[in-house]
Amino acid sequence: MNKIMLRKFYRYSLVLLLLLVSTLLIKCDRTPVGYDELGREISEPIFNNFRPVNHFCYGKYVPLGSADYLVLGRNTEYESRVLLQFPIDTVTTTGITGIKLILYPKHFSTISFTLHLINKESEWVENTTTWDRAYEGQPWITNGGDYHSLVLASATLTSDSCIIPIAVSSSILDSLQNNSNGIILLPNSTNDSFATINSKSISTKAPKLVFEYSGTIRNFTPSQDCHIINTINVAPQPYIDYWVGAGYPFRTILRFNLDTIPSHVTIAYAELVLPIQSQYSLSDSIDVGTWQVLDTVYNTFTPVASNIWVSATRIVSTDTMVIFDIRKAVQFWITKPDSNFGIQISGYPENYEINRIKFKTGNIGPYLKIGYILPPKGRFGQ
Amino acid sequence: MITQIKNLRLHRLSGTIVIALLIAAVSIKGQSFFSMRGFGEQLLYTDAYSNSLGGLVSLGRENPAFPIALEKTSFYASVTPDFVIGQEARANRVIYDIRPVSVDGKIPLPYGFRAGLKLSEQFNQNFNVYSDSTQFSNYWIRRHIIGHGGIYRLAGGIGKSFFNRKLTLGFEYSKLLGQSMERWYFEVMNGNYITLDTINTNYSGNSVRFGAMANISFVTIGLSAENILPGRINSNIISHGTIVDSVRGLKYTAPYNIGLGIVIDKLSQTKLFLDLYYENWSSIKFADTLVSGFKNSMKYSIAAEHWLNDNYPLRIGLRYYKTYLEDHYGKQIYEYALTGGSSVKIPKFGFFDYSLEIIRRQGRGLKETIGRINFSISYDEAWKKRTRRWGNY
Repeated sequence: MNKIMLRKFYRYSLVLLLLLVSTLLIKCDRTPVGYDELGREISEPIFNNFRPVNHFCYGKYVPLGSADYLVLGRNTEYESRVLLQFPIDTVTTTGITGIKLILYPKHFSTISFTLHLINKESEWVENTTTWDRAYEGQPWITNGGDYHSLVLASATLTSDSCIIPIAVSSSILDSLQNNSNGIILLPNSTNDSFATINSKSISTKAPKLVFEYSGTIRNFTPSQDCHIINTINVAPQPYIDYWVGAGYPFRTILRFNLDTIPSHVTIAYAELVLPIQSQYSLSDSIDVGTWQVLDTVYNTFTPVASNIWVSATRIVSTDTMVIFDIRKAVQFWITKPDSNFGIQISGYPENYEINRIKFKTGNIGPYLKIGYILPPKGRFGQ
Repeated sequence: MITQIKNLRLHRLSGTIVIALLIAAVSIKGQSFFSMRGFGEQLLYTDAYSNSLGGLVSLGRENPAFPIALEKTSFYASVTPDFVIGQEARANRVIYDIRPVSVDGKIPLPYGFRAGLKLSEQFNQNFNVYSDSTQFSNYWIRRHIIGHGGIYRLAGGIGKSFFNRKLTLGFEYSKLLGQSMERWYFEVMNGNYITLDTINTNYSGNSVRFGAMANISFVTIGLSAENILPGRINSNIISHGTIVDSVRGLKYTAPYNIGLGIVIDKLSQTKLFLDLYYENWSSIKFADTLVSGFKNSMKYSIAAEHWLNDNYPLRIGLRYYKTYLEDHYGKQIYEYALTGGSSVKIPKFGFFDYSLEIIRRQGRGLKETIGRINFSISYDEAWKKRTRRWGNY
């Protein structure tokens, strides 16, 4: 009985195997047999290259408060400071024997820095603060944050956890609790590199302020944290350069004149190509994306759509060009030419770290390669 | 005893292969490589009985007067798997398909009357072709076009027998309904970019068909004639999600067709069939204008049915068919076919007909070899002597 069943099993398996193989072979068969019998009018595809007819490039302070990592450091081109605020307003300071600030760097170089108290008058809001403003509509008195000149502590990041003791005195405790809006970390001018520190978003490695009492301790995680970044002698020429970047973001807006393409065609191929001249990044790669521009007037306030338009692209140091597949965007422009306001290329995200790509200009600069086809004809020539 | 065991094994093996083929065929949509033109591949007959006898029109279920004597209610359903090998310029492509092609029923009424209802495929518009990969302006491009759908007939008919069932006349009104969708993929291969355009087409129309069957001694004659009334075509071409072109209510004036069949039942246990069919496709008009690309079609079938015993018929046929289409060289597409089949009794139910057609269809450049299997299952009267089955239900 078992032999009979086994024989049956082999027989059925053989049939199914043959079936599977033949199915795969047939499915993979792509020879052009019968194509000529379509008998339709089929147009050849048309491929063209387009150069931008308008462009604008700019840098801008943007809020960096929702980043996972806080950037601290400086070099000849950038400076980044870290702002921290802890919920200690109602905590008793009586009996405190020690104060420590603990940071957990993700990537670190040897960064020396000082701690200062942020002025009580200068309230800041992490989601809107930048190098030049404390919050939306409220500039700092001094760009880069308003802080006391008194140095709370000096420290150097040398490992993946950094404990910074702060000297305890009644005046410092009083200032920390009642006469300040948190702490600012200022990199020393002698630095030539940057570190990234886990922000409160990474809950297990968030910055901590530790109050030590006799026999007990209390830990505080930030109620607000962010970093603010400034550039030093780094600025693109708005109508010549094509830059993108993050940290201190650079953005480039391009517009192509596609009036020569008929409105009913199907865009089969559309690659926005941006040849790279140079790039700078704290990490191994740079992510960039594109957004739909919503106005014809190009300046630092030109509105763009809130959602990313075309997929982001990751660039590594060996890449020589950035390529976006923007078929949907071009199809949109072709179908609705009145909406062809352009496309913005910028870092994605812009608040993650510090990076920058400069693209080539002129005849070796950005261009758009488009291939399109005319719609097919129906069976009866319609 | 040995014969019975062999038959049992044969049945089991047949069953396994059939099930496996059905499962596999579901995953691939096939075609005739010639179904991309005109209204598609025309199906003049859809059941295994007609297929196995060279393709009967006037002597089969397509004739509203068939069968000449209807004694009990009859339901019939057919499924066709196609295996097609296309050959062109030393290139081959294999593809296959399975689809239901017809279901119909006929009910005897008092005083020799009968009524029938039928749904069947008239034109098959399934296809699946690739263009050659060509380099154009430094880009490798290719088109891949897939068509699905067809035109179907929903028919209601009445008939009446006269002279002690020696003559039957039938009339059938058909609503022709069709829908097809063509998907045109355009591939730019250096970036693997694929673009899709779609053509949706709807067909509507009506037809009336008359049929007659008469039995005189050992000769039975079948006649059928159909007039297809003017119909309409609506079509949309959709590119990048928007309709870029459309046709509304394109009128077509379709041809008429006539068929003649003769059965000779003179030999013992053997019948001989001759079936002819003509359709004047060259008169077709679109928007009241004659169009080119359509030829008058003509089909010739000869066949024989031999009963080995009361329960086991063998059927064989030959067909030569000049179709209504011409190929892109302007040559009329024609086919010749060798057909065969048989029936298996299903106790207390009806019977299971099966057929195999080996068809060679060609124009000037493209040739296709089709292995077409047809399975039909019938629910009707209890099993009875089959020697007079074509006209003795």
